[in-house]
Amino acid sequence: MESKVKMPSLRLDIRNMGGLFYLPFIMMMIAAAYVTIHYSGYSDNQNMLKYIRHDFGVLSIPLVIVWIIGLFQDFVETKGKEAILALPYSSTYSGIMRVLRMSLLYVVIFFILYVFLVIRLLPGHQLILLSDICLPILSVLYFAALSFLFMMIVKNSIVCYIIIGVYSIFLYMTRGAFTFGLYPFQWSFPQPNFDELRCTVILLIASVIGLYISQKIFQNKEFLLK
Amino acid sequence: MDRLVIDHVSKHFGKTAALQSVSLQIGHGLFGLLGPNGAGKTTFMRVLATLLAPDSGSIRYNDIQWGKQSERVRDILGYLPQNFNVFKNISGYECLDYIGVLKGLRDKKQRRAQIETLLERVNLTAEAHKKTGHYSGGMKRRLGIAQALLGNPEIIIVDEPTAGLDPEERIRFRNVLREVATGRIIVLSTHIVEDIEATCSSVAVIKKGIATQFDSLSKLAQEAAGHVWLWKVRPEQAIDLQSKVNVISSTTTEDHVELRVLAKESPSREAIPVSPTLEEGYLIWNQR
Repeated sequence: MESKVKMPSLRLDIRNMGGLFYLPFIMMMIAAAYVTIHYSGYSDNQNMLKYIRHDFGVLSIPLVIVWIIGLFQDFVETKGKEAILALPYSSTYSGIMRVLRMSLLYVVIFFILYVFLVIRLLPGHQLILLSDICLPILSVLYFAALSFLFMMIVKNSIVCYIIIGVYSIFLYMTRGAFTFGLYPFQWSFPQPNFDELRCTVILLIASVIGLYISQKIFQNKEFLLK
Repeated sequence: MDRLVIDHVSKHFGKTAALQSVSLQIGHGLFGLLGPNGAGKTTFMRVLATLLAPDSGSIRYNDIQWGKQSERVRDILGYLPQNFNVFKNISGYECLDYIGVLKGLRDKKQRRAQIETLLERVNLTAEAHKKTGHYSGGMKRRLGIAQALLGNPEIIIVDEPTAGLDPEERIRFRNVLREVATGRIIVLSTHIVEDIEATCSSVAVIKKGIATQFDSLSKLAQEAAGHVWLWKVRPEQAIDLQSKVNVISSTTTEDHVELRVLAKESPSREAIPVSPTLEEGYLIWNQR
């Protein structure tokens, strides 16, 4: 046997997701198009940023779960998963690194569209590191970690979508009440009582813990087999 | 010679003993594991494939120890489970490419050359670029054996490979298994005696987690020696006898029916003893 390849190719990961890959992408494009059309010529510059973030981000940020769940369907959900689990792959590179790679791609697409919207609708706006970059990145990462974790635990994509969907709706409806700052919609639908920095740090810690636990479960092939 | 040595392996699920002190020695070639449904075959295959850890006992191949060196074991192992229904959105070729990467086949050119050879070997070249989700059951099994063979593993584990296949696909699959058995160990689990008869040179029988190894198929067949009788009867008599004696098979000719009967003593003065088949040996062993 030759020396190990560290990670399966991104192209095959994307192709293997089938139509699921395009769903978040299409939703982001629709949201961006809606914002562009709806707010063109809008004069309320003071609130423009708030509107862009809400209308573009509320759906776009959590939809990363579609990609992450799609990444692991064959490893934990399908009938033939045994064949994959018996392969000599690197758990780190097939697990957490694939989640990070996919999240990074998601963030890049997200930011291209966001920056386009800001330039188009708010030409003079300067991007702020914490609120324009760190907070949305960590919100995406949090949802990625959450979907990785639930996929490892429940091993069923539909159940994962339902759990995370209900959780997201609850967070949105309550605007982060009872979450003690663990609020991934702070960028798109902010809770005025939350401090952005605190929220960012909490999301970072929660994401790291989520990814760590998910990775530990991913290494336990006996558990994944059940 | 390289042998896979399984030494007193046991596995429990709660209070249920799935494997009870299984000890086997498996050399090169096709080795069959025969047993009824629920006998512990799949558990045994999963233990061999490093997916389940045994509660006790050991498994080794040359200097490689299961449990202690799982990564090394997976490097020399190819596994085809009962269901091979993965990567449905990509083609058979891409599926093998993906698995090749997970198996550590780094060189793209070599990996692709190997995939093309394997696709040809399992007769899937024409369908290589079709999505695997559109494959028939037989094609999926053949793709499954191709992925198990990627990286040229020394040990291949195949669990119930012909279940649900039509006769033509079954024969094709057995031929593939025979072709690839040279120079490596293939462990084949099945409840279909015909599969073992057509492919394997040695066999173990498993029931309620307890396995017994036979050096050759004829030794298992001999378990029924003196217990199989050929009895020629009239057609109307044959129907009556079905419920009275243990009829294994019957052949109808123009004016009579030939019954093969399993019994410790001759069921009739007209019945003559015959040499047993593998299936009859297995049935006798299974009834104990």
